[in-house]
Amino acid sequence: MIRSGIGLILGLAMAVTACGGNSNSTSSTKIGGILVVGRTADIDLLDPHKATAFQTVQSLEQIYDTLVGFDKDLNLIPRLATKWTYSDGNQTVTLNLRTGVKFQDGTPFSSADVAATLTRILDPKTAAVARSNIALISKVETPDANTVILRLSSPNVAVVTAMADDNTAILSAKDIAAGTVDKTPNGTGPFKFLKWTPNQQLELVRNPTYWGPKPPLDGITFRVIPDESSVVSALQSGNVQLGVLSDPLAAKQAQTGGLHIDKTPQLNYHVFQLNASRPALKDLNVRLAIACAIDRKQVLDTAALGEGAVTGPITSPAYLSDPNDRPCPSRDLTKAKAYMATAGKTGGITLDAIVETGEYATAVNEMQSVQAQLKDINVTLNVEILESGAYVQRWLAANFDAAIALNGGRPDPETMYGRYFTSTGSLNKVAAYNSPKLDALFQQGRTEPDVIKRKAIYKQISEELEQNAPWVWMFTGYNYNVTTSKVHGFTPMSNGSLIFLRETSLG
Amino acid sequence: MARRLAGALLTLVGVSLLVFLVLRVIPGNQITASLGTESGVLTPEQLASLKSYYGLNQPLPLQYLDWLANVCTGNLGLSLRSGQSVSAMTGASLPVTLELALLATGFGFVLGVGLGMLSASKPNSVRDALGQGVGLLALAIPSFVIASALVSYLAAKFGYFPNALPYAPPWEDPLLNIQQLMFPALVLGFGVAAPVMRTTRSAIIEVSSLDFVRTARGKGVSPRQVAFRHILRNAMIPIVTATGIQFGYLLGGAVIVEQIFALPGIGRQVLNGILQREYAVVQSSVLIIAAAFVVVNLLVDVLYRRIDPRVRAD
Repeated sequence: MIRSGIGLILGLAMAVTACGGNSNSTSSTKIGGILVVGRTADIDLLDPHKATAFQTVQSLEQIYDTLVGFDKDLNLIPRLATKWTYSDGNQTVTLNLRTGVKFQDGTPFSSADVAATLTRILDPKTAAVARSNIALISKVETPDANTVILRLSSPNVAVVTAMADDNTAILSAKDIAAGTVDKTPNGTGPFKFLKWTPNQQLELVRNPTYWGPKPPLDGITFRVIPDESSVVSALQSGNVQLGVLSDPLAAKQAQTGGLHIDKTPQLNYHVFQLNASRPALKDLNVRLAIACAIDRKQVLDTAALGEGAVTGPITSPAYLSDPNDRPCPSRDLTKAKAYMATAGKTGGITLDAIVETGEYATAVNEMQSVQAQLKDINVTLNVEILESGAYVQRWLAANFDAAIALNGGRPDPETMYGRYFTSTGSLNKVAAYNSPKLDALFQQGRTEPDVIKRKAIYKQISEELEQNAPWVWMFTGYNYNVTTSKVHGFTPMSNGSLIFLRETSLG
Repeated sequence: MARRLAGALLTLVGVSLLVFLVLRVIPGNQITASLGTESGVLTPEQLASLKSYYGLNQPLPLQYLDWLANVCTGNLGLSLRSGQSVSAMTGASLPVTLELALLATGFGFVLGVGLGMLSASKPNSVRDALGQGVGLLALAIPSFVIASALVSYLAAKFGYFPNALPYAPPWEDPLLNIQQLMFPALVLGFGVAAPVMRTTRSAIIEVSSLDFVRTARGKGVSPRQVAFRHILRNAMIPIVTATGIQFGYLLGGAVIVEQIFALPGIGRQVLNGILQREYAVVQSSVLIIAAAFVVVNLLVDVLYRRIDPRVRAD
């Protein structure tokens, strides 16, 4: 029996809201103008399947489309696929494609492009970033030009969410065959590639054949201004109208300049990772003692100027964990000491802890704050401050007792944590914790198409993680999108995406 | 001259080897630089494919010789990310840094020599303290502090930050170009002025005490002529050396100011290359900077001969 997926319902809901939104905006939206976006780094490549840097993804998502996408709360919405249905015990997904869509070079879009794209991602030689997320697709069938059938090696409903990732952008089969993907961007998105001047700027113009609502802007220029406080100066001078910042200090500077600042909690999370496979941390009581002894708010205040929010494991707005749903909602030294006593460690323990420097500003401060707090329960941290490359090597080898990390969040908890906390997860060695209960819960989450039921399952996973304290989740920082008074209709997103530039106008 | 050229060539080979090795000693490679901790989820096949793509599967000596052979034939390599050749990238970035370094050195030279002469005209006096004080400030305040303060002040107060516009080469828009380079050149020039000032001061004090100066004064030559024609000209060799060295440093060391003022110079090219572990970009760019440094040193030697006839005679 074929069961209708969430796609149809969400699609209808989307259509209704979109209609409402459009009637509202068309009356006041000014058409035209080039929006200049200032940010500290340049794109590093043009192949969306290999893009990992934020700025690259933020740029290529304007040019390319994905099969499905996210709304501002990271709920799934239709894009090139208008509807998706699960069948065969969630081992088959049928996607109905949008008709009348054209690539920017004029070639019509069809199921052959989807098949060629997925085959390219699945080919290990491509070294595509999203391969592991869709590796369970065993066969791609194209019964007609507007239908794609995905056969999965095991039941999984997260595979559709994985295809909302910009790293699964749909390419033209012609470009794949010609090997021009990384040279001449050609997507079905609202903006077309015009010119890239490396280290300076990337220029995009409106795609006149875009299938969706016409974007108000004539074009977007992403300008590289390597220093965040210079980005603020550029906004103040009016030469840049939207700035993408991550440094709380630069954001504070912008507050004094008559600019509008949107603070969006990030999906990425700051965490104190414990390595439960190490002798000192095998005992659950020791891990709970550490979790109870850390004042997460104080870490946030001292390391990141209070710019962020205390978090639990799941940071995606649609599945958000309650940060207080844990054995010690706030710092509790009495309880922490009791846990240490139960573990027979009142004399204290010493842990080797690693932290990286250079990659993000708050890491070392976070470690110092945690180190000072853990002294109160006789846990001594021997801290090694490592350059980013050295840190990554130690982290991947799980060669640490504890580590301060800033890990990437995902809209779907399955892709976010399945790889860490299931016994077969590709990063389970680093997470150093799994249990039959977690394996079973993740399996349920993977095969449950009902959104409400899925949320309940991931709530249980979140609780299970907090109760066993393999890591201590601390806080999420903010993405700062700073705009001048000329910018209207821009909606920031917690995954750092700038997808709503297609609805933004200058006036 | 032949010996000097051979020495220069040897220096460049040494630099190339050093950069090559240092880059490999830094933990991580292009794969971890690009994927970070996400590189942990790569399958062995993906890893092998990426290693071959980045040329990391070859033994180190072969990688070095391969690169060196290419450089000798004029092929500086390719940025695997942007697909641009390092020659093209350097062709665009080196003129920016050269212009910046020339302007900064010019400003630093004028300010440094002026302050040095002021200080040396009456050692241990108030004006000496003033000159030395300015020199000390220029040495003590990091360029990024002055640069950031300047940028923030001008933008917040006057809404002025021409560097937020795309970089304009002097042959396309000279007016915008000079606006974009004026402030970074002033900031860097302030830093250059300090060592030039100190060298000028000590050289002038030393030359002033020599017999020929006393003779000139005794003959009734005007103090102005003594100061410029007799003292300054003879004190010029250490000043030119100090300025030349500073100019050389600026060719590779203007990176922080280039970052703050968003100038697409060669310093930023190297920095981005290091961050992304783009081996070819870093190696070739550093080699070009080293070559430029060597050329500057040779030019300084040539200048000595013009300034001081005694060097010509040697």
